[in-house]
Amino acid sequence: MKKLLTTIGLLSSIFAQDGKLAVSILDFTGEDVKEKFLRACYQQLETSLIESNRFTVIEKSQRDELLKEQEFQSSGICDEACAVEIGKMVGAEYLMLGEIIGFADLYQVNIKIINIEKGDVAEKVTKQISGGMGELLNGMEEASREIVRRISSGGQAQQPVLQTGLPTAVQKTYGSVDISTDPLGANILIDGVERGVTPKTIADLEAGPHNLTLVYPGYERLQKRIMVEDGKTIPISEYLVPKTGSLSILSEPIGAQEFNPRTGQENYRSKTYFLIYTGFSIGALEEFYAESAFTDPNSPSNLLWTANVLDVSTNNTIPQIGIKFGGWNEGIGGELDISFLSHHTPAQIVYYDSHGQIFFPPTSEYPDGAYYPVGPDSVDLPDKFLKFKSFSFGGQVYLNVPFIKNMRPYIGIGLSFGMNNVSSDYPGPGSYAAKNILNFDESESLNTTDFGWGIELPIGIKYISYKKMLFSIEFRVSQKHISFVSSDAYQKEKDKTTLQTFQLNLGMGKLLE
Amino acid sequence: MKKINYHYFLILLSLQISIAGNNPVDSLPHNEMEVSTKKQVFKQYLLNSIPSSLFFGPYSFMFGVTLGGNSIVDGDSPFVANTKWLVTPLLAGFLVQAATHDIKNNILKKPTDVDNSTFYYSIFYIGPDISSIKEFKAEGADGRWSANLAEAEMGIDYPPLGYRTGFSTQRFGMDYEMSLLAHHTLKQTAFYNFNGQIYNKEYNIYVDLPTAMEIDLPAHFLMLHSMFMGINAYYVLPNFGITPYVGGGAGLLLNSVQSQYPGPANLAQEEGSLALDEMEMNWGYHGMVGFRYMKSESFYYLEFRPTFHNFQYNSGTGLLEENDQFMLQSFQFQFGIGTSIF
Repeated sequence: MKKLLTTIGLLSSIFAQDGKLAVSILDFTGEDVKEKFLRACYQQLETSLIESNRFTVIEKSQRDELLKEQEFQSSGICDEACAVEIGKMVGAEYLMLGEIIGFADLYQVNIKIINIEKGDVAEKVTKQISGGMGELLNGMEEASREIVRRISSGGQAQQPVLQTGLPTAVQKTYGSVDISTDPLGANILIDGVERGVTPKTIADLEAGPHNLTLVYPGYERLQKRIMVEDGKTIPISEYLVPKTGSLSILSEPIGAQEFNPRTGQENYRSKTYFLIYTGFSIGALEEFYAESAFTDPNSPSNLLWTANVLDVSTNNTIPQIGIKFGGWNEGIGGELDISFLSHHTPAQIVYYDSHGQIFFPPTSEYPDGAYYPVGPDSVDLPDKFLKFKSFSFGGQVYLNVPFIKNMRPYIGIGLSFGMNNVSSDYPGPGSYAAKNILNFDESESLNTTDFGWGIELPIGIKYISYKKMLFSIEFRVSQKHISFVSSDAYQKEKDKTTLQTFQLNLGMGKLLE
Repeated sequence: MKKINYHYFLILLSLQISIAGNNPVDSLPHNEMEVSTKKQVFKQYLLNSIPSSLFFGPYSFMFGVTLGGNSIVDGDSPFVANTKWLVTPLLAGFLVQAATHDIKNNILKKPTDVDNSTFYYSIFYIGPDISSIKEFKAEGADGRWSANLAEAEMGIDYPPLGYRTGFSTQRFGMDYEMSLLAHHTLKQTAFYNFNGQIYNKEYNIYVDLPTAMEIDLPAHFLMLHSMFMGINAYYVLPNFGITPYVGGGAGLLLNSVQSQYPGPANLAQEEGSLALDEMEMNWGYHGMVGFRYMKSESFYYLEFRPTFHNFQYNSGTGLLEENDQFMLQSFQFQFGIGTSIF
């Protein structure tokens, strides 16, 4: 008695949903196909049928319960007769038998739709799908839509719509059509002319064949040929199939792993981005080395003089600015960096070591010119004595430290090349120091541009927002090797130095995918 | 050096003739050519365009240099002389382009594939630059003296002009480039270091000179013309509306050095003649970083290039003959238009 009540209850719940066809799907069978693939395909078909909102799907658990209650015995392999019997027991109007055959890189999907009332195969859908599991699921989705389409039209009351034929009347006669769609609101075009939206009855249509087009945003366009009959209203009801598209997946935190059904493994997707940054820096000229462009007249293999300074402090003239283009994979990243850095020496006293002698051109005091020995000394540099502008481009590689929520810490190393401009209101260090020793006038200014290279050591954190925006904060040690020719006349010199800066940069950019 | 130049030209000519001789377009009737993919058609395109560019380019360049030199001799200004120099290779370039275009349209098959993963292009560009001579070294041919100048300022009458053709995938690109460059020294006082003894014509003796020397150079003291023929390779970075890329290139230089003065060691200007008129083969290289704004069949681009071109030649006469060498360093800002070949 309890079993009977349960059966009645389950069948009642199935038939309680009026207007919908009751369908059920038997477990998929397969050859050379993994069990989990069969289950996934079954789920795909069931989901599509439920989402169509046209069917009452008797789910596997309900079906098994009903069969169990009615003590149905199955050998495990179910043919069409067996399917009809099961369909009757569970109260389904249609029952589907699915089979998937696997080949090397190809799957054949066969789905039979059994009409339980008639006891025969109403429809059969067959698809060949090449590729992996992803392609198989996509193919199942397409097959599901096809099944929905076929059963939907077959399940409607027989519509007096003819696919072929010509009107028999010679004189003009008129009829009408009553068009309805699921979903409602589709645009109706008859022979290319807009006739409103569904549901709608369109009267005074000339009897005979017409082209009907139904358009609804986000759904596949439906086109069919209809036959209007004299003095009759033809009911037309159509199910529109939704379009499919790609899905953008965002997660909290960013960086969730995606499952690759083909390999059965988690799949990390690399990211590419661009980022604009700016910031402030402090710096110093390390190991400033200067040598005369001339040789010693008494010893041509030796230079006339050399000088070196251990350290000269510099300040940011304007904030550095740059743009990066890069990408990262699971553990490593790389980027191209184009940047502009501007520094100058502030007012300071610089102590230097020098050797050799400097040559002074003839003056009234020294008509033949003079050589003056030099040694360790100091010079009082005015503000902005040397101004550096560096436009450089280079590459950096960095290691990613594991995620902390949406933050991605990194540490790296880089190499850069570029154009270094050195300018001054004075000719250069040698001329300026010489002027301080023997007061003679030199008024040339310095403006020279040379090629240089540098090393960058960045450490920072990138933050990824939900809208794929990228923010970064970076501490960077930068060393730019600068060489240039400066000073004037007989103090002409070649200078080499390293502009070392400690930069704090803030950046903003976007992930590109 | 002249012997070396002679051999260079001989090798170049042999290469041109051998490449042209192997050109299947010349040896096959049109209907027998089985070229169909863009890649194959592009190869045919290069086999047609590069030999003719390598042949006519240098000769027109040399002819242009001669015209420019004659113009100086005729008393024209350096600007007029440079204009005459420029017209000849430009005209040759135009004719080669017209012929290549005609071959592409009428002889080569149209590609039948729809593979758009590789973009085949040709570019015309202009590239103004900031330049200077670095480490000018001169040695007396008699081996008795040497001089070196750390730096000399340079200017341009016309910005460098060039042509490039190549391909670009989503990640990598390569192209062949030919360009014309003209630079000259600006008016300046150059302070140079001197060692040794130099011949004094007036007294017919060798004299000692101080190590620290200066020389007042007039504008256009040295007039440098170059034709660059080389290869560029670059890596394409992710697109964000514009497409950035970074790379480098290297190639041969056909250099011409002209002056109304025999050489740095002899500043006696020779009116109505070119005292120095040397041509040599050398090499150069450059880095490049740029951005492209892509459209369906074309692109605009802006590129920054540090370039390094080597020069080496003989100047002076008699006992004042000398060997000179230097590097011309320039920072070029190149912009141009690229169009699809297909």
